[in-house]
Amino acid sequence: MATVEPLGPGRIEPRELEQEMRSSFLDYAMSVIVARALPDVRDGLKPVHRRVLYAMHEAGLQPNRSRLKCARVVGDVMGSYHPHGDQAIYDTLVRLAQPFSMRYPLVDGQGNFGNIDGYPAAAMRYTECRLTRLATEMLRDIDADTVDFKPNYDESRREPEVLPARLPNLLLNGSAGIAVGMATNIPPHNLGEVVDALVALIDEPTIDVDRLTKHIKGPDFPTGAIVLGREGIREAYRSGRGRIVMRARTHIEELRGGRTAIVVSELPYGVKKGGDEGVIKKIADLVNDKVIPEVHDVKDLSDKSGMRIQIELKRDAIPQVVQNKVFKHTSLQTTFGYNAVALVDGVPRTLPLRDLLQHYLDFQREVVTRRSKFELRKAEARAHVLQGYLTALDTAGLPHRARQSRRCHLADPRVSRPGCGAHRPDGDV
Amino acid sequence: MAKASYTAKDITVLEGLEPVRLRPGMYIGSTGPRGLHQLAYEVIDNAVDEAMAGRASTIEMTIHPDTSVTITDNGSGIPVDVMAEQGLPAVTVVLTKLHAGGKFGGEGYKVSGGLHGVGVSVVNALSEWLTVEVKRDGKIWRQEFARGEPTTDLKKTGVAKDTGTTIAFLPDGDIFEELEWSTETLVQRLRETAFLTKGLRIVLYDERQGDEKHEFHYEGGIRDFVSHVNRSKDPVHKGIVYFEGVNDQGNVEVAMQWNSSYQESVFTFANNINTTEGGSHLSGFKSALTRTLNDYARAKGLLKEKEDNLEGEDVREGLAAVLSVKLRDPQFEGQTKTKLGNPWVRGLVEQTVNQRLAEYFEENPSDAKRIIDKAISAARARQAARKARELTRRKSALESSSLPGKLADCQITDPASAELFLVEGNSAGGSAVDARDRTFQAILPLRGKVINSEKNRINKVLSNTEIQSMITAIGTGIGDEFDIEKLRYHRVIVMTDADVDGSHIRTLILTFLYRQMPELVDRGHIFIAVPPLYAVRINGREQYVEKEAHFEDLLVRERVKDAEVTDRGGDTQKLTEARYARFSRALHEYEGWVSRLRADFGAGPANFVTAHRLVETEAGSLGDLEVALGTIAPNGYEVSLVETGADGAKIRVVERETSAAANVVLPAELLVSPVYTNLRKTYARLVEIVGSPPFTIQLGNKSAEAETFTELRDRALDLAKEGLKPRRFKGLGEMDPEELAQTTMDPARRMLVRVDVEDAAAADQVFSMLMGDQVEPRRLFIEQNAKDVRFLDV
Repeated sequence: MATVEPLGPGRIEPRELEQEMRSSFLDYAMSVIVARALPDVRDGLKPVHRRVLYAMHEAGLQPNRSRLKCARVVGDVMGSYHPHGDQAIYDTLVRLAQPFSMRYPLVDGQGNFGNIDGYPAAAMRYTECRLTRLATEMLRDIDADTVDFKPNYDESRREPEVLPARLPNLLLNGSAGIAVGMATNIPPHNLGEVVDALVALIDEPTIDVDRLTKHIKGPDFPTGAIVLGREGIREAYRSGRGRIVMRARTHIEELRGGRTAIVVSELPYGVKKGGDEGVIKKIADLVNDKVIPEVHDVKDLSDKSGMRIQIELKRDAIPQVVQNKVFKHTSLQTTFGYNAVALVDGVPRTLPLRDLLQHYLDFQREVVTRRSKFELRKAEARAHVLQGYLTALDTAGLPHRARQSRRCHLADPRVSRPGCGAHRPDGDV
Repeated sequence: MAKASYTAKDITVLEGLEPVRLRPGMYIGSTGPRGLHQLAYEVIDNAVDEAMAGRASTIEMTIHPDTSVTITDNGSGIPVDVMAEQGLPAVTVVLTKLHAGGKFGGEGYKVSGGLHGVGVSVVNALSEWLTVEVKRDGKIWRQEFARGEPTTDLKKTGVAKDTGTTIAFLPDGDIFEELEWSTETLVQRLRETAFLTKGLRIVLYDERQGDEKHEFHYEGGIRDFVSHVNRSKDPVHKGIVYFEGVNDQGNVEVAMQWNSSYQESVFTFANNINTTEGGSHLSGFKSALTRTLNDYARAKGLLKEKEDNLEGEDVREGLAAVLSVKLRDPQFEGQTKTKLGNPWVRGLVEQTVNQRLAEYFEENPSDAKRIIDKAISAARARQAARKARELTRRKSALESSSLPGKLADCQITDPASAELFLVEGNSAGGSAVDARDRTFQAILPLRGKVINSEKNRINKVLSNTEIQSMITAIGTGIGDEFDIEKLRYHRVIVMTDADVDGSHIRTLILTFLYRQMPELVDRGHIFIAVPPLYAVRINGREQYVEKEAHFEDLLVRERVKDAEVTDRGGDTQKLTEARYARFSRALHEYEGWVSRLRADFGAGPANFVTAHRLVETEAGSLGDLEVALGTIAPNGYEVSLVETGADGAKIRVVERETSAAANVVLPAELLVSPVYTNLRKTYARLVEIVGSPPFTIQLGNKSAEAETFTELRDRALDLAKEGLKPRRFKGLGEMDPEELAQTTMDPARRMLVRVDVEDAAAADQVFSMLMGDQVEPRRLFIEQNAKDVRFLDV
């Protein structure tokens, strides 16, 4: 190998290409896995979400206060905690506020936050936001030493490693992310069902997955629709991976004029209705390609009363047959690839339902214990001070100078107003 | 000026192993990690020679937590009889005299690979200590050395029924910069060695963290090697082509399998030495392969008459092949002596491949068809790519200049003095242009993440604008049109941010350069810039540090040496540089044992014995536990034994301040395990060095508390950093242009990393695994290596 002459006295260190590739790629992959694309099992959040919620909490954006411009929130998150692009942070914020994306939205937004047809939200200088009530539960007790904090990216502030998460957010809102060498896809679930399952697990730590599924019957999508068959769900909860088939909610209607129509009132989670990638366009394409010649017209009649996609059929079409074709060729029926991967102690793991719930319980146990210790310490410190006053008052009596002071009420808890002793203006003791 | 005299008195003759210690680089290659690992390879190669001669079947290598290694083979054992001319036993001679060995003629070894080696005496010279144990003729013989000098004579220490040699050594920290054994490097090398020596069983034990064991045993020899190369790829045909050829001077073995990727992975060996520069055997292989495929394709009508012949590159696209020749008296040529001379080998290989490959095709026509089809599609793609390239060239001829607009070129045209910085787009581009010296430094900003040249076919890669800019700026062209003479800069320097996305972009750029311009990498033209990690003002001077470890050294040298540590007993001592160094080394070993304990018995019990100081007691079994628990120094917790059972003891731990209680189950095996014993020993050493925890550490007028040894180190460094305000750089854009120039770009002050390829097989594997389209091997790699990652970026 020819060696290139160095141009100056600066050092040149050789390194194996293979070594360099391994270590650089590993750094990137690890960072994406542990600090970008995968949620923590305890609070169900990726770092960007956690930072948005924490920053909003720090800014006092409680549900009973007025909303703040999103641009200010985004700027705050970016400058204090998340040194990446502003548009990406805003997109995250917007999603947290969308009722068709989040089963239990964590952000209460004002203005255009996008819709199910895929239209984007208004620019961040127009929209406003604050936390929802549920989001405050995620942050409750954060000031009671319940979670560890770590320095932020430039070591000028501190940020929480995890939120106290008094709600089991990972299952409630789910999560989806593509990391390196792995990915995650967890659907949302029903709050009541999950809480029942958690209580059952507390009561009986060795409970099995079949009994747990008596409480958690399956995912609960904010967009509704139907799940076909329990086997996929069962397998998903048993092993952490499974295929859950989702199908739109439809019914057959006789329209005025004699035509029959298939009416779609709920779409599977994540399926877009309109626009270039929407399901309506797909149906139209299929009609044009003569795959479903029985369809006469497709109309999007959704309005403020709800969703309504009207697929009008030709006269002698058999509705069941057309429905099946539509389910087969479009995303009106689609599969949710359940893949429950989350970070446990900083390590990505595939989690069966039981383990997922157990990790959450262990975490909550720790949160409550820590909070109790914190409050105990606070109370003991206060008791210590009070004991000191009592001792001071009882043993030597309150020294003369102290009684004379206008602020001696601070030393004697029995006195409620400034001044005490013989020198008070109105003479009271 | 008076003439200084130069007489015989001024000439020194270095005796014995002195020259090795004086110029280690000459004998072992370097004093960096490569040289360090070469020590192990020398010993292993000797054992492999025993295997090749048919006398050994197993080699075991163990890495110990104190970074010493032990290598054992079950060969016939190094001879112990006395050599007449030397007056010493043969084993002592081999270990203390340079160039001694059984390979220079004689019946010792018939076909050996160790000609490249300088012998195991070099290992001895460069080791703080070395012990050799030989089992031979029913007896065990042992001798010990320090830095090449024997500290004992060869002594009989016992009886043995078997035979073999064990060499254990600790590399000398005075010679080598870092005593860090890389498991991956060793695994690669040992695996390769096992492939090349059919049936040899090699085991690697890593005792440092957890208890890792890697075993390599391939009855299929190079057939398994090819399987291994293709494991992260999609094979085009089932089954691996394998055949041998022999004549009276040597033999050749060939294993091949085509996969669906676009890369060529042909590895050649002569006497188990990796002939990276190729040679007569590779030429024979290539020409026979091209000829056989063309002949077969034409004969079966797969290649029509009017179509061109398949070229070498087409035929080898997606080929994973291992070619291993063994011969007496191999001649090695080339720059690094990794090119096989011996012209007659070409004929043997060519003949063998022509004949046997044709036979294989005849016997497996469907496989043959698939292989030929792939070669034909490669030929077509190559033609399409050529047209795409011509189009690019024509397009740039129409522009005013043929260089990409974004290139900020330099003034001089002599490539030997010029350098090109490939810079990560927006944040760094501007700074780099402001910071450079425009006479000889050119800057090319690359926007966004560079396209992955491993996952995409060449036409897609070539139509990417950033790739086109790079190709034009570098000037050599790519693939079969590569012309080293047209290189416009002898130094191509990759300069990305210090964050994780920067690392990713660096891997993408290196993938492109290695796959399309490999000669640039081979010739040492590719570098990586090393921007500083920290800037800190100490003693009035602004110092820049590139590595985390150097930063710690700097803090220790300048600040920590004034720190005072008071331990539990009230004894105070200064944390001098020497003491800190011993403390740091012992702490590293201690943490390794704690990790292993955690891995073996679980976090709960492991944390208990360390946090609650059971390690300070002599408790060696459950029986001693109750007494021991009573003697532990108080630490804010109340510890009591609840009950003892057959499998363990249940202990109750109560935090005094808050009355929070927890139960720990201490398994019985823990207290008697060797890991625990070593843990206690290391703990005792730490106590000797700095005292017993908890500590108070004082530096200047600031002090801090530390509950454990780990906290002591962390607090020491924190206090050292007090008032210093070190700046940690995450991106190149964070630096002022002057800083960037001084620290990273100025040849007089900067540090550069030169990218070398030592093992082409390993490099090929790595690119295919990390950047290829198969997910599972990548996931496995991440899973196995995750614990080694030290820091995480945002």
